[in-house]
Amino acid sequence: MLTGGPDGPPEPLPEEVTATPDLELKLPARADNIAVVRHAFGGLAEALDVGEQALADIKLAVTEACTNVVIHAYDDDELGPLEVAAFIDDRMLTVAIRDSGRGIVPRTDSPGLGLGLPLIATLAESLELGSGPADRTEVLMTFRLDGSDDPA
Amino acid sequence: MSVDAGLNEAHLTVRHGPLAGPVLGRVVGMLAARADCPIDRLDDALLIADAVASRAGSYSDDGRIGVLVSAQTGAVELNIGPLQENGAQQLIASAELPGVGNVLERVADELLPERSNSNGEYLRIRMAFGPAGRASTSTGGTDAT
Repeated sequence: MLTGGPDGPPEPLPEEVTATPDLELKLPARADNIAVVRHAFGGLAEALDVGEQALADIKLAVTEACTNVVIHAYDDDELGPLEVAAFIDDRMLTVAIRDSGRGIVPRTDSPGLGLGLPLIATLAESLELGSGPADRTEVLMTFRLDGSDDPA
Repeated sequence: MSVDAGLNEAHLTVRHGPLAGPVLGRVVGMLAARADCPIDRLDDALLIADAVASRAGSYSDDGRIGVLVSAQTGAVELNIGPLQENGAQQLIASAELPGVGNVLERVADELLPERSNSNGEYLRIRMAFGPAGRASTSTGGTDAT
């Protein structure tokens, strides 16, 4: 498990995130669909009156996690699903990004810089990598919805 | 309900309440725009999304709204469900506005309640735009059965 947060000890992850999510989105794992996920979180933020800075952090972290699915989860000739689930509890948002691909494994031929997960760990209150329902690969992040809008 | 990896579609399930409208509207708007939906019909698509988001949760068993949104050249489709028995008809009827008429019937090109043997009822809403979409719309108008 990898946890992290910019300020103080990380928030504990919810013990059980198999509860019914407030929002689920399932799309083909294509690069152009990452924008759809970002827009969906824009709508979520509008409904929950989330501040600009908190929304920017959520969108960036979710984008990184979804990009990992698009680039790494499936073989080049394979197009699998990208699943996003969001749970809202008392001004805390838990986001699960899931795929049915090969799992999180080191790649010597990775086209990326390897900054995605450290970036998510910095932006989120907590981060956990593991297996979700039905053995799908899962990145689980929590965010505080009423975080300060002061970038300092 | 699953998504077809090769198509411009997304399956959204959202809890009935304040989240539903903004989230469904964004997903529908994004996929419709990607399918080259003209701006006037994009507005219509968002009207349909708002009507569905505000009412569909009342006709589902668990208070959650499931929508498969798909957009191809010339048309946007929303497949809503599973719904309770007669939920599709009730959802259509609930879109009646005083002085305006039924929003879904006025804006959509096709309203088609469908029954799944194993999983309740669905309402398919099709909104066409442009020559390609109109040509493949069988009724050429509202088909609220």
